[in-house]
Amino acid sequence: MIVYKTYMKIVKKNAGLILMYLAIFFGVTMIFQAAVSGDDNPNYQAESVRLQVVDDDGGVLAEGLKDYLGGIHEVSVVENNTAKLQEDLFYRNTEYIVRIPSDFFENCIQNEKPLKVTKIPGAYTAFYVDQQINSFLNNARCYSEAGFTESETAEAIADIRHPEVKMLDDTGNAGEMPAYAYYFRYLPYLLLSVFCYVMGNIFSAFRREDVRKRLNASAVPAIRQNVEGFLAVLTLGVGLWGLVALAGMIMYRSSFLESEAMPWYLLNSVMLLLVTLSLSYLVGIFVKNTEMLSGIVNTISLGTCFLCGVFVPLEIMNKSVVKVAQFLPVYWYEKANDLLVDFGAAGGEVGNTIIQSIGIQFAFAAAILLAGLTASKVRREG
Amino acid sequence: MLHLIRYNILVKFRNFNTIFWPLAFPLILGTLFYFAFGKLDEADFETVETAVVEEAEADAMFLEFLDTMADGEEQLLAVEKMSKEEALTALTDKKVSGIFFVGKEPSLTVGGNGIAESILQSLLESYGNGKQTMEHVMKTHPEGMPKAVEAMADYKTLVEQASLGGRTTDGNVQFFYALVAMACLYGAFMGFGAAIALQANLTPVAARRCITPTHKLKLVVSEMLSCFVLHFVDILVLLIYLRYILKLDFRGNTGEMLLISLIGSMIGVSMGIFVGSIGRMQESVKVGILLGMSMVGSFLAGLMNAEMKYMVDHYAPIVNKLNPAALISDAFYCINVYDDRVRYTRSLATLSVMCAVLVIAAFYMVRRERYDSL
Repeated sequence: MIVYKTYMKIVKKNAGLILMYLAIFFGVTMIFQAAVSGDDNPNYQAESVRLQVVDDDGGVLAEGLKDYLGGIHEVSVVENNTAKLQEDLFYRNTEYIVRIPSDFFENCIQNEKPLKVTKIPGAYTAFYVDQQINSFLNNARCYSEAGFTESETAEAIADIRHPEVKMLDDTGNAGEMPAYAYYFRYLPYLLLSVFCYVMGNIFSAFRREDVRKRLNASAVPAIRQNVEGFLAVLTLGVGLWGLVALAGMIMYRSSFLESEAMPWYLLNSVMLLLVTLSLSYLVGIFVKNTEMLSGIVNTISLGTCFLCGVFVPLEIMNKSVVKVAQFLPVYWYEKANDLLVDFGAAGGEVGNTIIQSIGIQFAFAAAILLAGLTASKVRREG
Repeated sequence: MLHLIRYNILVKFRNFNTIFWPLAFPLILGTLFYFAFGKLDEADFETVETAVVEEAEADAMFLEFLDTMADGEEQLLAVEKMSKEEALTALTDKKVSGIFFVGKEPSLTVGGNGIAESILQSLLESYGNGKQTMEHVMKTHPEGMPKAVEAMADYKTLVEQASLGGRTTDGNVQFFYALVAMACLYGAFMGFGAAIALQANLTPVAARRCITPTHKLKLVVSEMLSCFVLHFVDILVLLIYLRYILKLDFRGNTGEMLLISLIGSMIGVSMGIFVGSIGRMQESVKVGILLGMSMVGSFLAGLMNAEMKYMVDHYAPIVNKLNPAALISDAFYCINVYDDRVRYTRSLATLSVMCAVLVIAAFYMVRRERYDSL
């Protein structure tokens, strides 16, 4: 098993790098999970925005507005200090600033002068706060027109009922993305980086002119060299995949293990593994040295991850870019993943789409491998 | 001296690491960013698909209210009437974001938590509030009823966006500022190359250079200058690409942006020189350190996820006040989004000080190095 051992020796040399990518992967996944995971409340919750109120009025109606907003959002009352407000917006300590002027009731309600608000440029949550404030002010205006005084208005408006919203929970995820879904979403980055780098290293080492000549002259038959090489690749592949799957099971325990979708997630990731392995073979053929290798690997891994919905969810990406992404295998991995997140266990029409996406990945893996084998043959003959 | 600089630049041009990482890689990544979310806002705001199920004693006012919202200018809603079963299937298949069950009291059923759901909820709420308002008026000031109805029918926009000096509306431009910061830090590879090309115990070329009669300071300064110049050009190419070809929000004062680019490229190169000059670590270890520093720095400055930067700013503000990548991206943010002189100056001052410290420290480490034998 000398060929196998040599492969493993090169793998060992790259152990530090593999560990680094694993650490990055686990670290990033954890951070994102911590950042997005809400509490597992099965009831519907309105989107809450960090909101600051500058209150130059201090009247009862101003209080009423603050209480109303406080019922939905995280409201903090701050001083009217432009530099400080700017800083808070800059660092996203707040997403929305409401400035209640003095004589709020006279100015804004009776004279219908718009209330000044400041939002983070481009944040679309702001739109929704606008609507709530508008609704509050319009109601207040109604009362005032009907002859209510400021305190009467404030009192009447304090009686606002929040309607009950029912949540239809069909995926068992309480409408939230389960934590392990992030884990699987970022998986392509790990697999692509590690395999393309390590395998690329090995394949390019074996393809070096004089090494190849020595191999050709050796007593070990070519078929055996290939089989052992294949075994080595399989060892690393299965090893790393096993590690990832196991870590996933340990980290998410019952929520993942008991999920009906679990086998589908795993099957999907096995297909991804095949794709990356064949891709790494292709990369290995074209790479001349390690400096170039890390350049190519980074371009491929970051490129596909950005275009195929690993870092940026497909649903918010530009539609025409998504169309182009369909020509890349990782797109189909993420598509299957997204469907699993949305619909839980695969069944019916959705199930077929998932199986189709997994099948397409397999076809990609086969095609890339074929391209690799052809390229290798051409290069050897050329 | 000029002769030295010229050849230094030529040498760097033919080196994969000094061309690919500081120049080609940021261009590639910028293009990817652009395709992944450069145009996010255009695709972003979609009409909320909603199902309506009419029940017995349906509240006709509410149905009308929904129609008005659906026909409005902003096309907030797309309403489709369905049977209960159809609606539930549509919700399960994510074809609609929520179902309004319109009976005597309209109610809302949703399939998840999100902005679309929240919009539906607040619509229902504002309808309920309106209704309640009328009831209150009826009870307390019945004489004001006609005026209240009039006011209610005349729904007004009573909020107005007031700027604090903000300019752009593109929420994604932050990624590109972080990208420029990353490109600046990748100058470290260049600085590193320069540093080891002068250490005789590391490369044979350095050994040969060390025995030339050229003054050591001349060698050091020419290496440094050529790095600064070359990397500054790299960053300029990137900026031109982002601003004129991808047409992103880099519309601040050109002079100020050039200054950030200059100091930014210097900090990258200095980092490389510094790490390259430390102790006797292996080359690969040093490259690892540099890569780690620049990647972690850019990550914390929001290169991979803009939220990251805000989280760091929120929980550990000191980190990004010292993180060169965050300082560079902040400086860009200051001149392109908010006119914030104070933070701009503070960022650049911090960077310049760091730059000076790194270069001086590196110089102290390599000066008067003598080799008994090579």
